[in-house]
Amino acid sequence: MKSLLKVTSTLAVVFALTFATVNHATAQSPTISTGVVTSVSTADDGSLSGFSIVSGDGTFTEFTVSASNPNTSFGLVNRVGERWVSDYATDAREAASRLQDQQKRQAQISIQAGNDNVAISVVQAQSTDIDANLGYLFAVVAIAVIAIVGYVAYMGVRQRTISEDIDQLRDEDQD
Amino acid sequence: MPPLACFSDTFSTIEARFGQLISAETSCNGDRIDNYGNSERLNRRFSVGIIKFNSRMVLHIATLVAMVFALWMMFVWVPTDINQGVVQRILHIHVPVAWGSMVAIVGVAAASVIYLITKNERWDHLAVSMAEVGVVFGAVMLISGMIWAKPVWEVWWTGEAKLTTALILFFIYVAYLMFRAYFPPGDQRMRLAAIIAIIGAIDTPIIYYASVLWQEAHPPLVVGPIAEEENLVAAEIGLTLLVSVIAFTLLFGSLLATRLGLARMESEYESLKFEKSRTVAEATS
Repeated sequence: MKSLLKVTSTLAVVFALTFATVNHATAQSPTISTGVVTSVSTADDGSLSGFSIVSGDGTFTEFTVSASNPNTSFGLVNRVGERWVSDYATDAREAASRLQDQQKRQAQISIQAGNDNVAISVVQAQSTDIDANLGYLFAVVAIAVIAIVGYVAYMGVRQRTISEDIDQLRDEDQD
Repeated sequence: MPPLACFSDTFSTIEARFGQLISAETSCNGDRIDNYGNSERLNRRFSVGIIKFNSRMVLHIATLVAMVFALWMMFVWVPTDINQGVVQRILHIHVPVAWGSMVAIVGVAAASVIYLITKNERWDHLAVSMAEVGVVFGAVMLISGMIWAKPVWEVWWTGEAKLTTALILFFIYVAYLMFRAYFPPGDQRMRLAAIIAIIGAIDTPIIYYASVLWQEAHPPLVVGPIAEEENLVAAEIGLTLLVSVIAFTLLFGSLLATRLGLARMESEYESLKFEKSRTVAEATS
């Protein structure tokens, strides 16, 4: 028990030290119709036929795409920052793949849509405040540490109490 | 003579078998149990140079090393996600604890089934220990998920299937432990708790498949047997996630080993207490 307590205490220190070295990066903020992709629908040949997003207020919106008038344009960035710029008429299948990538990364996108929710342009959402996000990460790490260290301490107290009770019962038996 | 810790804690069973006071220091298969509920057979001791180790200590050290390495990877080595920023690193805590909590409920159910078949109390100890560690992991999973959702989805919680079924899993753990806390000790408690655990395990595949069956805000599966190949995350993030899962699995094992020792002690205490009350009752009559 003592060794586990030492291990978890050390982990708590390591958590704090490593957290202090977290890299900073850019994030994003909403623009027009901004949200996270929740579903991507494709045709039989794998080309994009539509997608939906959930916006900041929790509203789900479905969009369709078009090859002409308007020809939906795309400007999306992958995980390592490479920007892909194209349009639906040229790369309908790649558009589906890129939006699926956005979905799995929960990357926010901004959509300009015309009548009947036909997307005119689908672009990467722009950056938001990085410091706010850092606070959320710190909260998660702190809660994980508190939960694990707290549980180990709780087990230690219970173990000591029961050990004392067992010794007491054995002593009474011997008497 | 079978030792005290081997007996089911059904009063009638204990009464029938207790002809005399039995040493509580020997376990079912003959190996000794120390004051912290450690079985010698499961906790072998060995030394390297002048340092003496036992298997549990080795597990704790392996956990520490793995956790330090995982923390270095998740906070220093892995590149920051260009879209979500640093908050994306929550993935490396959220997914491993979710994995741990689901492994726990499957383990609780498996141990419960074996208990119902064999009636061996040790499986019940394993089930309750896994449930308790599982509830800790489950709580961290839910809270970390909510905190991650706020900057990404702008809401703390959505009522979608994946989140709701995960919350139900947490409540199942809590119900299982509450039942055990308030029901009198004995075979009936162990039997009913086992049934609750088995029913509760039905929730696990529903959670796993929820993001496939009901596509909502929660991202699709990126690991596991039904994750599509194109859904695999970037190499660095995938590797970090793998190391995190291994580290948290070792942490789960460390906590479980410690809790198992406590479960053995609790069982021994209940048996001694019963023997004491029986002796007092006999002396009075």
